[in-house]
Amino acid sequence: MSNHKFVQIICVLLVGGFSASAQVEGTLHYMNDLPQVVINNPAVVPNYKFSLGLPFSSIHQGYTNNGFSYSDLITDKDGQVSADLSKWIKTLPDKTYIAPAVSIDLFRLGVRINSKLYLTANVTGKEYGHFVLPKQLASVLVEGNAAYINSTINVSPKVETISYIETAVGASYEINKKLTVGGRVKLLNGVTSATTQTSDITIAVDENYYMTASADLNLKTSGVNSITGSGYEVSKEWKNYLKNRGLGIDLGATYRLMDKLTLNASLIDIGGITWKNDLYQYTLDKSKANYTFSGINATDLVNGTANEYMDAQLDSLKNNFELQEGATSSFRTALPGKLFLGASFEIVRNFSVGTVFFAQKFKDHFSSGWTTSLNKNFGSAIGTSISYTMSNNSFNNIGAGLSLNFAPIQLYIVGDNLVRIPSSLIVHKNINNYINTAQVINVRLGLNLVFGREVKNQVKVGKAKPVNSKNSNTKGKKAQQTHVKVRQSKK
Amino acid sequence: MKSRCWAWFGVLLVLVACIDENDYTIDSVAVSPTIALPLVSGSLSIQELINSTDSDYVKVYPDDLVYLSYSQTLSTQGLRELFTIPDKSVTRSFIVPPVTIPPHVKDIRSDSIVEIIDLGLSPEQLNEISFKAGKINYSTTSSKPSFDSKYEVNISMSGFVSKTTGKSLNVNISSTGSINLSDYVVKLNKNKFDVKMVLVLKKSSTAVVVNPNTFVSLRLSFLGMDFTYIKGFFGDQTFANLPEDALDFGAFGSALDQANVSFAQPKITLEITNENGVPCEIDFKKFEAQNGTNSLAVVLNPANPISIASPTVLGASAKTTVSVVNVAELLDFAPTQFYYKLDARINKGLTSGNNFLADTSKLKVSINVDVPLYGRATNIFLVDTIKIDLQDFDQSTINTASLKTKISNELPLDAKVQFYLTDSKYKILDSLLTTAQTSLIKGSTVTTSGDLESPGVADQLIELEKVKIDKIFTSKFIIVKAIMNTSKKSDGSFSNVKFKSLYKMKVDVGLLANLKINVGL
Repeated sequence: MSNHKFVQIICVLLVGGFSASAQVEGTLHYMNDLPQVVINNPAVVPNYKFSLGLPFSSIHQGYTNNGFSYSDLITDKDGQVSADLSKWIKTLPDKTYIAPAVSIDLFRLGVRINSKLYLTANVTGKEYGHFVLPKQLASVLVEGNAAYINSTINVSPKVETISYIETAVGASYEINKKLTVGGRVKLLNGVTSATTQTSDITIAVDENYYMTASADLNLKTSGVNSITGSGYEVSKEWKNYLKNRGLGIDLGATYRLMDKLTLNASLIDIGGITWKNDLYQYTLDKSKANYTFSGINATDLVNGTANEYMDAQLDSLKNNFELQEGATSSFRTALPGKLFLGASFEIVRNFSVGTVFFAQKFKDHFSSGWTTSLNKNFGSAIGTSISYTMSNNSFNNIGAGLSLNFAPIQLYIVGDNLVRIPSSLIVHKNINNYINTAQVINVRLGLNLVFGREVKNQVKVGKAKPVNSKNSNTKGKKAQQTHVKVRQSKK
Repeated sequence: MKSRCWAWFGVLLVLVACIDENDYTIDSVAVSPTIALPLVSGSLSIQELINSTDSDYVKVYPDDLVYLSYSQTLSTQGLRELFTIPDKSVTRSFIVPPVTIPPHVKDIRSDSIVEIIDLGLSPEQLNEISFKAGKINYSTTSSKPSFDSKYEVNISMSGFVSKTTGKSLNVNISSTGSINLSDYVVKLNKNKFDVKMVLVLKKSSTAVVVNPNTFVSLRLSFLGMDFTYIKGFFGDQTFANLPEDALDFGAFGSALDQANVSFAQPKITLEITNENGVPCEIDFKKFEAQNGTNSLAVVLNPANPISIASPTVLGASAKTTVSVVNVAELLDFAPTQFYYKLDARINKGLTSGNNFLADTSKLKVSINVDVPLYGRATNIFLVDTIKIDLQDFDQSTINTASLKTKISNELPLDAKVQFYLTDSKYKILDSLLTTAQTSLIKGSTVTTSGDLESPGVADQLIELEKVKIDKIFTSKFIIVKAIMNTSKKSDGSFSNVKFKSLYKMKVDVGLLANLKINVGL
């Protein structure tokens, strides 16, 4: 493969991927003050020797939509807000991926064992959603079917949602001065799942406007049917959820390529869950679920039996497309696996620039994004980050992160599209403009208990430096040398 | 620490408070879809296109040519009503001489009196009657009451034979009484039969003294005689002024009222069924096709009057077929009914013969009209009215609308169709199509023999004017009017075309409409 070709592929991946949906926190990637930084790369070691997160100490809420924002949907004319669906349709890509995500830490622990080894453990509740809305489905509903005469309309919605409890232990180990590797093993207990194994629903419109609908659908669920049924009690049912077991791993590494340039890479959420509890499937069989409407039969029209004909047609349509519910066998769903490739460069002490390309594969859908951030620590008390993210066909995402490190209390908030909140407030006196134009919203906030801040200002990214060193390059080099000596003396 | 936690939540609350909810209160939803909707589809055969009233008459020849076949009995005449048997009476007396008759152990019979009774029919000369009703009333009286208990009268009629026992009529009667004739068949001699009467002095153990001037009177009355059949010679008779009648002829309803129609091979025949065993002749005093106030005489072959066949045995029938000569002329005339008036004559010019008829015998005259759909026609009108009520719909929701029509027509019939929008009193408000848009159906092309060559295909997208669309919503009725002509030859002239049962008209009608929908919430 020629370099030229390789560059082309990369460009396609980047540009194409940016228009898809990913549920990745880009700004968090270089917020090394936070124990949660290990989420994106298990090789990274936070700036504190010991950290503890109690239940609900870290809450992440994400929403991505590669197709549209609220402002694409509405028109405000003289205070009258109307949903202008025709305008909305024009903004949609061929497939709109809407992906909500939630994760809540129930427990998190990080401990530096020695200068090379850092251990982590966490129990986290997670939920990922992934809904696919074909543009043609929205288009046929809003714009009608005339544009599809002599063609077939794909109206196949797809859904993939999983919620589970992740119990993980991880470790980061410094192989040598340049290379640090990390890994995490995760035991997964599935709670609920809904996945369209098959979704092929089409409407064909022929030259005479005959409309032929056909469907081949298989939606499998776990843990959903009993919840929606009567007599459901969590206290009695919770043990059943233990049947849904899975295993996942995270792998990561950092490599100090040059004095101030460190590369990082990680694979996150490699694994899946086998679902065995409360299994149901909802199907439409393609051999039965098809129907052609060709208007009123001419003979019935002549004979004056058109009403009877239409009644029969409606009955036929209803029967053919009656969703079949039934028990099903166990099935497996993969976690939304993620890839991070990044690099950071320390511009001056406590001030670095980092960039990360991320990609996610959820179900059969590949998506990617890119974040570049500037990270600045103001002493040990305040860590900040400001970022720019291209993701989900969205290019107006200016993120920010802030951690207030008043050890042992650490408060933080970080998100990929937060900066426009204050700007919207200033300009519009409200945050509506932000909400209305956002296609990517993710925010993580919480409170950690942290102890023993490391003397370096950037974990594994660039050379470690003493906290109280001055900003002269000469003194910095001395400090680096001193720190190396300390490490060597410990060995 | 607590204060810092609360600080975060405070930030969140502030952010929530900074949302102007008005942005998220949607007042209306606007869409402007363009829909393509099939309205009507399917294949129509000639049977379905002919109105349902006439579809019963649609038949198909072995070569698949469709024809309309009408058959109706014009006249059912029972000739038996023309024959009645009159009542007859006869009175006779037996004179008994004044003597004293010694005791006698056996009846003493007088000499017989034979009376010939003539039914008095003319010109009929019957030789057999099977009765189904009738009776003989009798009465006997003597001039001396003291003699009444001493005699009877024996009556015997050898011509009257019981249908049950096979025996002839022979009874002793006295005083008054009645004899039922319904069980008897009588043999006649040119309407006449014999009655033999004998006075019987009943046996007595004492002497019987007959006073002077003693006599016995007998009266026989033949009353209410009706027959199951009669045989003989019925005479040369004409039955005039039989009831007139008319046959409705609705092959195409009113579609041909203004049409110029020419059928190539129509056939009209009369079929006369005679169950009477008597030579008969029918004379159509008037037989004509009518169309409104106009009429056209029906010309028959054989010519009027028509001798018809008769059966040779009682209970059988004979048929006579008569052709109509000027069929094409009649059907071109587009009749709405056939009117007729006829006389019947039996035994024309005959003075003898063996005739018979039963009381159930009929003379039936039926007309059979076969109209093969083979010919040419112009200006065939079909009209239908459809009631509509779209006042509850918002007419402003339709921006544009077009009708997509694709009609593949194997029938050799062009049609121009117009939709007239009317108010509740059928006053036309507008027509839906422009004149140029009305040629919706194109007739097939045909061979020189009139058979299908290739279907006519009309595939059009007919854009409807907005002003006309709006009027649909205020109209109460749509009158659909079609003017049809049979297919023309390439030189523009009309040729005879055939309509066969396998020919179909495949119809696809769809609506392409752009809507403007704004729903307030």
